[in-house]
Amino acid sequence: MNEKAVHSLRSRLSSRQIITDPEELLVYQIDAAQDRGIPDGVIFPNSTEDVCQIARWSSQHGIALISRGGGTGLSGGAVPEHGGWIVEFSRLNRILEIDTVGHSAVVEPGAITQTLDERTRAVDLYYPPDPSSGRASTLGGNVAENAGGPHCFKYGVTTNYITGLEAVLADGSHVRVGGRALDYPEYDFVSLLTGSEGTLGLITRIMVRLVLPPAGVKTLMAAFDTVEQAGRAVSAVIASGLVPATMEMMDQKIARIVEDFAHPGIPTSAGALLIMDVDGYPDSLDKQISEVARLVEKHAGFDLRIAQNSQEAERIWYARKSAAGAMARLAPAYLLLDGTVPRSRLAETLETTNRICEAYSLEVGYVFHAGDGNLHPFILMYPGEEGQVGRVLKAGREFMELVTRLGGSITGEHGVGIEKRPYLSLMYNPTELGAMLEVKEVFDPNGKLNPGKVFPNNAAEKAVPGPTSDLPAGEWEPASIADAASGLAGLTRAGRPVRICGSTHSPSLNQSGSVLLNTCRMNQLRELAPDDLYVTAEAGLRLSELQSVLAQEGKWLPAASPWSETSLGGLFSTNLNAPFRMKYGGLRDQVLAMTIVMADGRVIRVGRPVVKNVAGYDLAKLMVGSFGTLGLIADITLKFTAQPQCRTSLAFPAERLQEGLAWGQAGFSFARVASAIVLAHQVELPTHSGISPNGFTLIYTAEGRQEDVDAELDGVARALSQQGAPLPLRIEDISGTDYWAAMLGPRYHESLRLRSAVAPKDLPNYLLSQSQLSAAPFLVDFASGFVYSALDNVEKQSASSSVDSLRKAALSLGGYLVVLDLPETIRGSLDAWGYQPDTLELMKRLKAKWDPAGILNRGSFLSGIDEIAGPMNVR
Amino acid sequence: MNSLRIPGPMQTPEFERLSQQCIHCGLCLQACPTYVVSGQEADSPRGRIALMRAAAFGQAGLEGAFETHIDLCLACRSCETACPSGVQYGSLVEMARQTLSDNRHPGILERFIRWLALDQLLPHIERLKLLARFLQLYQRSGLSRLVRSLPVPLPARLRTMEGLLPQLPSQYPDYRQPAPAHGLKRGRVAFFYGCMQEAFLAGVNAATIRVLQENGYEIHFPENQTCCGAASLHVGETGQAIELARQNIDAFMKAAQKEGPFEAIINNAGGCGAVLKEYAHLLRDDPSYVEKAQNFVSQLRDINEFLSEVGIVPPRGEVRARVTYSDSCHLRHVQKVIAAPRDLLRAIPGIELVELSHPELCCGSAGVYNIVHTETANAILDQKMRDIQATGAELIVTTNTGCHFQLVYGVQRAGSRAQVVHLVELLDRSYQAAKSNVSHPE
Repeated sequence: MNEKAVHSLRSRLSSRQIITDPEELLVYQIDAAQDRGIPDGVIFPNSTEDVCQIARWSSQHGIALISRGGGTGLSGGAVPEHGGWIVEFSRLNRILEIDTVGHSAVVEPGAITQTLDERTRAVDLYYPPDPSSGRASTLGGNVAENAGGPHCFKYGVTTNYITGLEAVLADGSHVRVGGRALDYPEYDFVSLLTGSEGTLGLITRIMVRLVLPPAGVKTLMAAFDTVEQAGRAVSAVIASGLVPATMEMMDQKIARIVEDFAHPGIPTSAGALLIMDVDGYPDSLDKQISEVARLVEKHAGFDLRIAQNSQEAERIWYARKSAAGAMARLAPAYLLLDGTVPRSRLAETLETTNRICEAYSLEVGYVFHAGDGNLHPFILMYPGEEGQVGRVLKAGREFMELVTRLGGSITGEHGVGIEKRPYLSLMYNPTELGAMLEVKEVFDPNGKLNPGKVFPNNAAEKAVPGPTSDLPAGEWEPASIADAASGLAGLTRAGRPVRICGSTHSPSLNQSGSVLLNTCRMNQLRELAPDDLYVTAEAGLRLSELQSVLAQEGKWLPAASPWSETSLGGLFSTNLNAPFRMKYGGLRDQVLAMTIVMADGRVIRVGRPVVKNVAGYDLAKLMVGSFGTLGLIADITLKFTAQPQCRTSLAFPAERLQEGLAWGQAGFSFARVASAIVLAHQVELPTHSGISPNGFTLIYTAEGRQEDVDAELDGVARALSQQGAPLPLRIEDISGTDYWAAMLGPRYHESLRLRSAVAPKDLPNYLLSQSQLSAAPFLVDFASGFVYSALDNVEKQSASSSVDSLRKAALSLGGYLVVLDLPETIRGSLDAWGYQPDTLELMKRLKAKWDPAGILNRGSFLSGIDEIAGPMNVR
Repeated sequence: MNSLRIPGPMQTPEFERLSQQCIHCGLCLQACPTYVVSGQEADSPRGRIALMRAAAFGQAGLEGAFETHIDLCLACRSCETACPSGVQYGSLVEMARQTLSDNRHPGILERFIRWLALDQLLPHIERLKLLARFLQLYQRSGLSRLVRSLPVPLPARLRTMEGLLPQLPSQYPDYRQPAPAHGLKRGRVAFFYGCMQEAFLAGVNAATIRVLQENGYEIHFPENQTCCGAASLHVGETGQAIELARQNIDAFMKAAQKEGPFEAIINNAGGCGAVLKEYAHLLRDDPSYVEKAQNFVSQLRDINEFLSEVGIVPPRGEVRARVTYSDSCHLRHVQKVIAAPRDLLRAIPGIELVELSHPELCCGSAGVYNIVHTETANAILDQKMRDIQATGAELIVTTNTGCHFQLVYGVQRAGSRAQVVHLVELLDRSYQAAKSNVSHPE
């Protein structure tokens, strides 16, 4: 170790923040997995400023930094295998704010997952990701590994709850990505940093969204003769449209161990055990649990037990959560695998894995998150048995080959780290790994952040396809991915600009001299897997066509567009989110995988058709909202869900803005099954609704099971009437989302349309200070923190002053304002984005790597990543 | 670095077996009070086990990180409750401390203090009581107030020791005769009154006796009982602890032979009870005592455990107070008595029990820990006091001697007006209140 470097570190931090004693360092050589490496030192930052100092110090002295939280990782992610300094975040562990109005929280990276859970529940809010290590894991670690847990089937994983991050980059600069508002006009580096295993930046602050805890939960446990039968029961439950909060399975081996240890009363003769939670309002709970029970029994489940009280449920869950520890009572060590496969392949995966382990004479037991196809085989190890480690590793490799062959991922929630690094190549080819490594180079050019993790050595390559014979020109409609790839390669070489458009044909989009790439012929629906709840379609397919195919299965994609002709590619690259994202997540949350044609002709497929996957960087989410500036979305794999049984709205007329805002925020605190809470001001719907467009109308839409919807709407109506709201109108055919579509639709085509975004809690603060909107139609989306407005009859000058004033107020609250659309007359006079992300430099560098000739969608996104910027052009 | 192989308990197959049980999952971290305040892996159970293994394999010396962090362990054993793999951390840390003690060459002052405390004071309850009398004089003479208001404050350690003193008892229970049962007699029990508890918190013992009487028990006080040996074990003096164990077993056996068999042996201090219950383990290699020890342990009950097992005579007097219960680690994590004290508190009319947000965490007392590791102990204590103050409790209920002292000090440090009481004192108040038919508002 360089003494000068240590001396320089000591001059920046206090001695209590640094450990260099070799014996003290021994305890940092391992996390919860098996790989080892002793660090050269450990540093404990007490502030963001400390982290900046540490990063600057590292870059000056060429020292590697490895972030560490609770050390509960299961892939060796925090292990300094080749030395370097550990940055230990345990003292940066405050929960800075829990916002009970806007349902969000701000925490430091060392905050403990369970502490956030306890603190949010104390104020009747809920942070759903619940990794089994949550008692000791940190949120920084959860973000780095995109942690999952048993509740993912219904509630999603960590990435679905992170709205913003602050991070210190390798050069010591401090940036914020995302924030407390949503859909910032920037590349989605929040999704990229989440799951990046500490290789891209040192996270110093985390902004999360919260939801309301379920009104009630019921737990059911059932036994089956075989795992296959249990798997069929799971599929049947999902096919019926039920959405249990958890669906956990254990095989006989684990069930027996757990029974010996925790005595939950499991029939040990059973071949498999299924534990399911359903949640909802009391009336809905009983119905749901009896429907589940009926399906389970129909599919050969026996010994059904429905927990009669919370103690009984806790005992069942205690048994499940003790599985890993209880294994240790059987054997002192094990290899814990973490594969994910499409749910319908679970039984097959299990059967083959059993055969693999038998062939190597190894003992294995399983726990699964059956709802999301994530299975954890435990391969037992007994020390001193000769050659055993080698056999275990071989079996592990065969398992990972198996899950990749079945279309799954080598890691659902534990991360790649050191342990699974050799296997990442099973999922991604050298070109795909190359694209990921380019991202790494953009963020950490000298490779000093968690070096060597995730990516296998020398696996990357930049395979650019050969030149195409004739260069596309004018209007170009590639018929296939290969066609698009070779065409783009040629255009990059020629430096000819390309404008990508979906199935719409908008001549105004075309700038002289550029090629108009229309995806209308790339419109195939490639694969529909109703059992596994995913669909793969090409980018040119229209959203409306996809929805009608899904509707035949009783399913739908939680995505909407005001225009019937919107293509999937267009929708996802513009990232236009309807109010129902409050219930279903945003567009980025629906994306499981994607095929991207890069500007130089490389074709990469990233992600897998599984809901849990933390292998490599999440490049698919990075494409969402990038306005076609990073590459062409060729196809996209999306998760979908069962159509709601019902969708009902309450409409409350309001006289004043202030009361409308107060009722909207009050309504938000009831939102368990709500899918939109919007306040409309003078918004005209295209169809007759019986609601006057004059004045203000608060629309509260709830959807899902009838009993849940009724219970919630009753509660909202009661609570708001106590606040002085009049009796609402109950409507079945109009929802808050229809108002949103109307705002963006043809009615206001001649208006200047804006979207302001602030943290949801700041909406009243923002709106009550804005007089510009008093005469304009606008729509407030309470859960998203969005205000859509349509200014009429604007001159260049007044438009610009209105935008400036509305924008300034949004920016000062940490939000932003973008121009969605504007009349022809004032085109070119407004800055559509008016936002300077901290990461502009990174965006430019990434853009330069992926689109070296800068040909893609010039002027379509933030000014700065290329020269000319136009309006958002969501169409 | 020391010699590569350290003789002693850390070289046994048992150490190997017990330490290997740890799969370094890290679930113990947040259960460990020292980790919570320092954030250092070496101050966590997982880190300490790693250091033990490093020392056992010669990768780390005995003096250095190993000694520092093993010393800093409270042995509260909260980690055992948190551990999903069932690691017996208590046994491991005892082995480590034994190893340190075997290899330590303490200076003359330390040897003197140990001799004074472990040989001359704790096993001799009468001497402890004498000490208590002196200290009482100090409290009553106004000297205490004078010392606390000195312009130059006492050094931290002395200040801590001074602050730990509770209000001392003015009289001691009479143990010469058994105490008779009140009302319908349900049985006979023997009482282990302890050393520090008796000398400094005799009021708790008196209350325990009255509560047992009210519950229909006749209480016997075997002669020649002595310190349980916790302090000796804590510093790795296992030999001395074994001696004390034999003396206690003999005392209770003799009393049973003379006065007839007891239904149970009752104690009221979580820390002592935990050690008393480990006598069978302590004497496992002594063929002449192993069976007697098992017999002794099978009769042992913490007062909370006992009352809830046999069913308490409902306390009818009202004690109107908001209280919080601060678990004794050794009652909670070692003896696993968790629900009983809470049930007993809820049985008292007028008591509003508010749970701590982290009842599993130690208060930092841990035997003499607060005197030896003042800084860490105070950090842990301050955290506990914040938790306590958040409950708004006027009474802090405890069930162990060390915790009682520590919380008295904590109240003083935090400038709080809460009062520290043993659980039996509240039961006692309720029974007395019912008798005089007057409620005792707090």
